[in-house]
Amino acid sequence: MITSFRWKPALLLGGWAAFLLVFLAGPLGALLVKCFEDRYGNWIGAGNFTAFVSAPNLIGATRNSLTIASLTTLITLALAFPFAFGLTRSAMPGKALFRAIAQVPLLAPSLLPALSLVYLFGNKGLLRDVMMGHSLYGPLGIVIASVFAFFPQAVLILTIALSVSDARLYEAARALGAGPVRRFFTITLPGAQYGLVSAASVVFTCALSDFGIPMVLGGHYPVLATEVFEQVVGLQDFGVGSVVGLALLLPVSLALWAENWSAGRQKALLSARSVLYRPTSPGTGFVAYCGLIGVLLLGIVAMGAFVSLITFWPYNLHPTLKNYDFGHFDEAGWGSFGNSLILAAGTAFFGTILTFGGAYLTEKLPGLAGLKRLVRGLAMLPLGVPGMVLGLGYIFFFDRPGNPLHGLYGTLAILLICTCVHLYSVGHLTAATALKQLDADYEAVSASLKVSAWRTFSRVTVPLCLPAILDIAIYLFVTAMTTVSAVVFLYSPDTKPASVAILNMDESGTVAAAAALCMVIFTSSAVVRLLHILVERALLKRTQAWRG
Amino acid sequence: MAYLSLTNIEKSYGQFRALDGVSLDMEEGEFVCFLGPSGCGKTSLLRIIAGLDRQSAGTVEIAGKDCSNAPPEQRDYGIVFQSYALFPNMTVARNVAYGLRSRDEGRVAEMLDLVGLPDLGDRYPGQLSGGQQQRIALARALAPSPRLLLLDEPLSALDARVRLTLRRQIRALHDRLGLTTIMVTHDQEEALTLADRIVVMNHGHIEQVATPAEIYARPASLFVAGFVGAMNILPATATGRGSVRLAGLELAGGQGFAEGEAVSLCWRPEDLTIDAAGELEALVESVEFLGPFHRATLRAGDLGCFAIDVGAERMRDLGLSGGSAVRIGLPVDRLRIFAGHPS
Repeated sequence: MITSFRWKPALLLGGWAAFLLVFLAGPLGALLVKCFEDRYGNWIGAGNFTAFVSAPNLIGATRNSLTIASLTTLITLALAFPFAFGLTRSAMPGKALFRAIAQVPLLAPSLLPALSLVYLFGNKGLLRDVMMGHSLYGPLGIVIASVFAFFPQAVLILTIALSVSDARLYEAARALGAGPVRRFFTITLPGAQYGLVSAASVVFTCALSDFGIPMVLGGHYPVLATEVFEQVVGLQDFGVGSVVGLALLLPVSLALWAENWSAGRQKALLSARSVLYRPTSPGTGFVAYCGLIGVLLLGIVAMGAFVSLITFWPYNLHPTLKNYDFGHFDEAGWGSFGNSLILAAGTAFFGTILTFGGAYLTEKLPGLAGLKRLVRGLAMLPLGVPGMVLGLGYIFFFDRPGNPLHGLYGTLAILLICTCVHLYSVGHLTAATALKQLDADYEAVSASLKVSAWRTFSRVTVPLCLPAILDIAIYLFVTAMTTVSAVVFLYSPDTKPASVAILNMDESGTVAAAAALCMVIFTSSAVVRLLHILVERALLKRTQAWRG
Repeated sequence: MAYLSLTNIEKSYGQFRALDGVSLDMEEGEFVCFLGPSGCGKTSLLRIIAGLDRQSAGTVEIAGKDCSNAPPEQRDYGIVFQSYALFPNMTVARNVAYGLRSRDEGRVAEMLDLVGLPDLGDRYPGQLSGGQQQRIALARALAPSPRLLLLDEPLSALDARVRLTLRRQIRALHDRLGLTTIMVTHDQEEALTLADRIVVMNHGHIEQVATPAEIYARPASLFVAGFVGAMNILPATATGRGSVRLAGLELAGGQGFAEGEAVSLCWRPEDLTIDAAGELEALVESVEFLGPFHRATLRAGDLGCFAIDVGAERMRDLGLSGGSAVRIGLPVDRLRIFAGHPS
């Protein structure tokens, strides 16, 4: 009898499970344990939780965080919905341009809008009179900067939600005499409601867990993300810091559960037989609206660029490049940018292999149902874990004496692994979606032709998924380039990434230099993004024969 | 010695039993069709033979070798799916060569010739019609010279005319290459015209295994009678003395049924006759034109509706139309009787 249990797939999938268990579940478990320990590692039960509940500043920070995140979500959706609606439901000109402009904030760290706002509306700001005596530092500034930073995510999700629509529903409604308003409320809005829930929970999550913006603009307004940092780095109280992290984790998990639920609903909305809606309205109003938003988005970036190129705002507007001489402002100098480049390139390279490989194993291998469920579940976990919480878990897990991986602590490798794990879910989802679209019988055909699974993987699966693979790589690169939250706990003087250097420079008052480093990150992200577009175009041209 | 031998194959998905103890022997060179409604287990059975799914119990023997637990690549077969599953990023020639050890141009050309598409080697699958793609899938499956060919509804995504030509081509290939072929289909016409033997399946078990003529003329169960070909199924009662009672008539047949037992009487529409001396009186409800013949729907009292086929010439003589009263001959030699009434 020929035996059938195949070791190779089981080993591979087991390897993936082990990786995620060690580098994701392990740190999170360590964080949970820390919640019940005092400063010296003694078990104190619920002591840290009582400390959290009885500290007015921590309860206040929770309330502030929820307020900020809710306000940001409301305003971002209100601004993004008409923008996405214009892009998908009108025949307005310049759609590609507006689509691109809406994505511009993604190229910079969230610190960039915060710094630009300081120069626009701060105490010496260009437009400080608009504020009518209100201070930018506090909820107002945080919300404005957050709306700018997370506008792209909302537009992306809403554009997708609004672009899948069955034209026949509209034709049927017209035939039954429904006017444009009734069609909007009976077809468009119900069709987009799950997209709205998705966008809302993503923006809410981002706004809640963002660390850079409240660091720059928070003033005396504490939020959870800054409190985690304060407790851990400032007060060295890891136990209470972990509880604060947990307080951050809960609403985020809840929001993502809502997101997951609505994403599942959205899929079922459109059948394969639907006819795509083709907009005909000229959309003049939308051009004006999108133009205005575009000017604001670009204006904020331009402000950052401007202040980084002048001598001393607002007294000396003489152009200069001295703000880019980072050695004067931060001991890491240009080295931090080098670290960020290595981190981003490494995350793009290893993260793409990790997420695509993991998704392939869970989607295309036969059998091993239990192991697949484990890997899938672990792969989705990072979505609900704010970067700060993960970073904190990494400290506790890898800095624990006796952990054989202790040597990783303080190296660039741990930054790389942490970033890969932090961004794992999006890569996994993108890969899984692309893989699901492939004919499920490719593997069966290959097996019947006695061709190894590896050969079909490299000759068929990877070439067919190349656009998705590039998307994953570029997402990982740009996000790793701009991320602050997870790495802020893990860097050492030698491995400090640029985003952390920006934060340090802002704290030491050299804001123009911080803006300059933001612009360096922005430019390099933009260049990589442009390269991606060129490569993708070349690829599409080369494969046009069969992509059809 | 059977070429393919399935013994007590079972397959469960949780509580659902997709296959419930299926046993089947196939001779070398046979063309067998698995026929049944969707969900009857025919595709599950094919995938178990292919090793793509694992049976919950039972054994699979191919060419005298126990393959019950062998992975697909250790079994000798070629397979063609309904979706074709051609690799879109490879040319037709590379697709066909995919299972060959070396890139054997001669073999590829030979296979393309075999399926009648010698000039398409440089095209991509996306540039071909559905029928052409399916023939390439066939060429790819046959290139490594398997002795067993598995076809999973290979024609159901194609339009009627292409289906007809491809059907003949598949049978011709089977004969020419001396293959042993299993084809899964829900199209009874396909099964009747192609197969040496048909395996009719329902609810995870085999209802009947027989030649097409046998299945058509002597269905082994009420399910087969109703599933293959047009059939009038009339509810009747056994008398217990070798006859059945149908709407006040007593007809010979039904030996072995107890008195009062519910039975179903089955005649094909072409077996009933319009005959002045016929036993049953009926009214014509409607007449449907079907080309070479007409199918009349009749109603006879509480018997309900049944159909009868009338040839074109006879139709002209009779001049039937809605409302005509006719007498129907019920030939006892063509009658099949099964226990129970159709559900």
